[in-house]
Amino acid sequence: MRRLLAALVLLLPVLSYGQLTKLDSLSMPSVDTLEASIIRDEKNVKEITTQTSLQRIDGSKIGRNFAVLGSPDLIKTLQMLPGVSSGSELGSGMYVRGGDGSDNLYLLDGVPMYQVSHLVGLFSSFNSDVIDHADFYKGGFPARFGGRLSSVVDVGVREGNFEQWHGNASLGLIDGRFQIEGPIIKGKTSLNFGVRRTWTDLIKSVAQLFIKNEATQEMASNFHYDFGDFNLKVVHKFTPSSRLTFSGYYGQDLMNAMFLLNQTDTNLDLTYRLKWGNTLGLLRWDKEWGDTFAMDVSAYYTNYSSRMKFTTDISTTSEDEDGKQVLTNMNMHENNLSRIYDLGTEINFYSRKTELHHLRFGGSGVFHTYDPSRDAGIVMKTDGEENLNQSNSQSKRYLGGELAAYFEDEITLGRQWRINLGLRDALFLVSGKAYNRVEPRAAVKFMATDYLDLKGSFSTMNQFSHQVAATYLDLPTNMWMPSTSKVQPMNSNQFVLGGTLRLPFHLSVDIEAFYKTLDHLYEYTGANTMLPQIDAWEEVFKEGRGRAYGLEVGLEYQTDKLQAAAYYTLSKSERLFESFYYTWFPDRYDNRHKLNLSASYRFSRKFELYGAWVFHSGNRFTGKTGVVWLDGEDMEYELYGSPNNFSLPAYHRLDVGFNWHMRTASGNEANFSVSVYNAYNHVNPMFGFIEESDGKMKGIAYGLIPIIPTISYAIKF
Amino acid sequence: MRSSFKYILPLLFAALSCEVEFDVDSTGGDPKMYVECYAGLADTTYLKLYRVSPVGGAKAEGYDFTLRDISFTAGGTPVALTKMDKTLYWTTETIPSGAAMEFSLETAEAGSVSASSSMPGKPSFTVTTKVIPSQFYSVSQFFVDFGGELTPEDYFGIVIEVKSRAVMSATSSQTITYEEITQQVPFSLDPPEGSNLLAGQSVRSAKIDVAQQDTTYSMALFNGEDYPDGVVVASLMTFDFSQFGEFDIPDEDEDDETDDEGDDPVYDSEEITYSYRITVFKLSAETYNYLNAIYYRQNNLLSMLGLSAPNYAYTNIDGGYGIFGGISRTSGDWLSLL
Repeated sequence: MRRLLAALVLLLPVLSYGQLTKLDSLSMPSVDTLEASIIRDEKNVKEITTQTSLQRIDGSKIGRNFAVLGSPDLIKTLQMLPGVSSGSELGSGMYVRGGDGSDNLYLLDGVPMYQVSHLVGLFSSFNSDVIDHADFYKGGFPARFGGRLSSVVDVGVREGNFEQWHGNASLGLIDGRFQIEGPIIKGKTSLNFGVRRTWTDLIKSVAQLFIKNEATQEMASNFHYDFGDFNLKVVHKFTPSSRLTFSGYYGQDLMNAMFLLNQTDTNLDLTYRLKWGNTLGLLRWDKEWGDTFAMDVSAYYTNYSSRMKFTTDISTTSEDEDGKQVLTNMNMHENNLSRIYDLGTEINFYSRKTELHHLRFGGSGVFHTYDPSRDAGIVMKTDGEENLNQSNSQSKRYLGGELAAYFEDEITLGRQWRINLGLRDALFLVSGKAYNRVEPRAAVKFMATDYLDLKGSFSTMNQFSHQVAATYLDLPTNMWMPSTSKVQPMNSNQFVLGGTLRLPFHLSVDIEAFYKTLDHLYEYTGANTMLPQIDAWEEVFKEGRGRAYGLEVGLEYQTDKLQAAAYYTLSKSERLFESFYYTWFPDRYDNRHKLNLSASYRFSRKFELYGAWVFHSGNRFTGKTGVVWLDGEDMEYELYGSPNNFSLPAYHRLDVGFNWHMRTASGNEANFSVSVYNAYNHVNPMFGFIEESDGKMKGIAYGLIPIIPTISYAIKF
Repeated sequence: MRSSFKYILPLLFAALSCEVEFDVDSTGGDPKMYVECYAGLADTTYLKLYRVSPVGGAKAEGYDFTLRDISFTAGGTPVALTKMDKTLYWTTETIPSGAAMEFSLETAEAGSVSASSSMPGKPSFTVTTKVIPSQFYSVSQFFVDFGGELTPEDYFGIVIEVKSRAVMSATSSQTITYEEITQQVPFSLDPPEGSNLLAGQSVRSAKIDVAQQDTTYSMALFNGEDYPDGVVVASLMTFDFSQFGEFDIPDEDEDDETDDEGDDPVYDSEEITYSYRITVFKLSAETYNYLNAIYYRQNNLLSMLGLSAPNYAYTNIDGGYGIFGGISRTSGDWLSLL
């Protein structure tokens, strides 16, 4: 029995590691009304502006969505939206309208965050307990945003309560969260603090108590993983129209692994240590002059770093020809550091002097430091005398400056027309090279009737920082590098046409069509490695282009008890890399169809049931398309027609769960949640091959994520 | 509780079963042709032709095709092809440098293909050398000077050939001379000790094989864009293994009872000399891209798993597979390093 229990406890982190799940959770930022576990845009935001392709997600709703092992997650919520591909299952990848995973701008209180996941993507860096809202732009970008091609995720941390202290504590399967907020000076200064930490190391320690097998015990002792993060936001109101804000974030993942082998004549000591995380800090002053003019000015620091250390020590004892004992030692090491840090400042002005023109304008300056390095070496000694001492190191350090100025004018023409015209000019300076990019933005909205709005937009975006990765995996070893004389800034242009139709019976329909081009994309062309080259990084990446187009339809129904939504995406995404293939080929996440259905029903104030079904066409992979057979059985050549020429089987799964809201004996609100990810246990393929099976060439695909049940508990105080 | 776990654990582990077999669309179900031609690599240009069976389609032998028409032109002039066997054609005609090459063929069973490329001019270069001794190894550097600026349109491969010549004298006054030529590729340590071939390029060298009948070349590929001053440093590293003591190499035939060791002559002196030669290949863009694709196919498992860019599908054969490209070659003089 104890062995079974230990195995189960050990299995939990294994199941979670590198995989994903969306299970239900229960966080409860505001517990009184439990609404649907459905992603819903804020009608308010969409209807009062010309903005296209915007989804506003309220922080309290993230907590009610499906959660990863009991921990609600913003990125997992965004992945459910139309036009977004999630990449590998349970990861924190976002591939928006044909974009890549590194061309999304993540902002936490306006500060860029370069790496947004814990536990290889299983959890995102955004703690749902402290999120006020998240605005997700996938097109029609306002001119105040720039620097990434495909999307903006603008996350605002909630201000603490200015009148009273309260908070909540939550327990998921492998992590726990604690949040507290309240007045430091009542009515003047507030604080909001949230912290998360995994239990994986504690779970392991408990499990070890039950493990009797020595080898398993040692294996468990030699492996350690944990992650944690905290958010802190302090707001001070000088006057009702003047406030100072400090917002900070620190997050870190740590993994240690050791392998020890002690034999009579050989000792082996292998150590692997990996640590990565973000540090962010912001100081902002907001000032309003009446109802018509406002300003904010801010300074920030953001840092992402990843350190990997790998060492191997081998010592052997042998006899030489004279029968004398000879001790040989060999030490090998490899250190990898990937780091980027920014110092930035920003100023924004808002003017509503007239009803006709609502203006926004401002500027920003960022000083980037890109600083990856690597060194490796080997030392051999015989009886203490050094025989060999070799080392190799490589590093690149770039200093880059990014200056931008923008202007937006929201123009109201009569009752039916609104136009938003914007312009952004971005100047990037690095290593004696300067790139100036002018980015026009335009959006128009026509309110045809009380029930129908039509919208259109055009936006140009440029990206001066490139994620240098040897694989598609979201690994901490990936580096950020600037545009250089050899590597051009990436560029995208996107057109959007759409409309919103409000129907009777609580129904509404959103339709958007988009066409997007991407230029100066880069793909890795190196050989087997998880670590991209540093010195020659510009040479091992090949330049190409992309294009994507599609239609997104959203249908929503909402009453007090029942909330339901259906989102459908029909899209095509392609790439052109002439050094790979002479013409256009499908992007790896060219999912032709995507359909998400979700619903929640509130039986009473205490019980709520929800479910979501996710379907999309399979991801693409490259498989051989032809074989040369010689002399019957011998397969001499395997030939590949074009990249990403096959599609994996379609992805689909069902998540279900329920929330039970209760009050504790002391009167605190509490929430107990049970949910099941992938309820009918459909193992969805993650990668595949073409192989011979029973005399036929067939596709063989491999999936990892089974049904995953989850429970969680949260209490508010 | 015990009974609960009895069900939970098998359920969890059973759920981890993860292989899925699925049918794939055939590539239209039509067989296609594979063409392999590195024109100009040797005095004779060879064309390999095979029938390709589509995945998901009918299986057929690679030589099971009927050729209806084949055409090869260089600079607009037809090149005469001679059939050696069912899958191999050749020509001894010299294809002029800079000539545009066109190729097409039509088969009864596997459709038609066409391709175009160009014959690059022979590379011209001079070589100077430098030897850097060290305690445990020495580095031989070959400075290959192309005499001017290289451009992004210049594609090259480079090989260092090593000729070892052993003269062994026996007591009986019998003298044997043994000569062997091997190919080496430059290694990737940085200057001043190593090569200025960029890491990706020299790493890439290891397994790019261009076979032309009896000869196979392994080369390091590079693009002129990265060497605007026109000087490429190719290096070899030679370890002095005697620093690590004597190696006892067991006799492969030690279990052979019919060992005739006693019949072998005993040599009382042995002199080995080495000389080196640089061979540079100038490649058409198509050849360069195709050789890269071959290398990545063989060396990027991550890409095969769909975890990295799928850059190994390059072909310039319209309607089929393979390569129709040009290579020209120049070998320098044999050099002795002291």
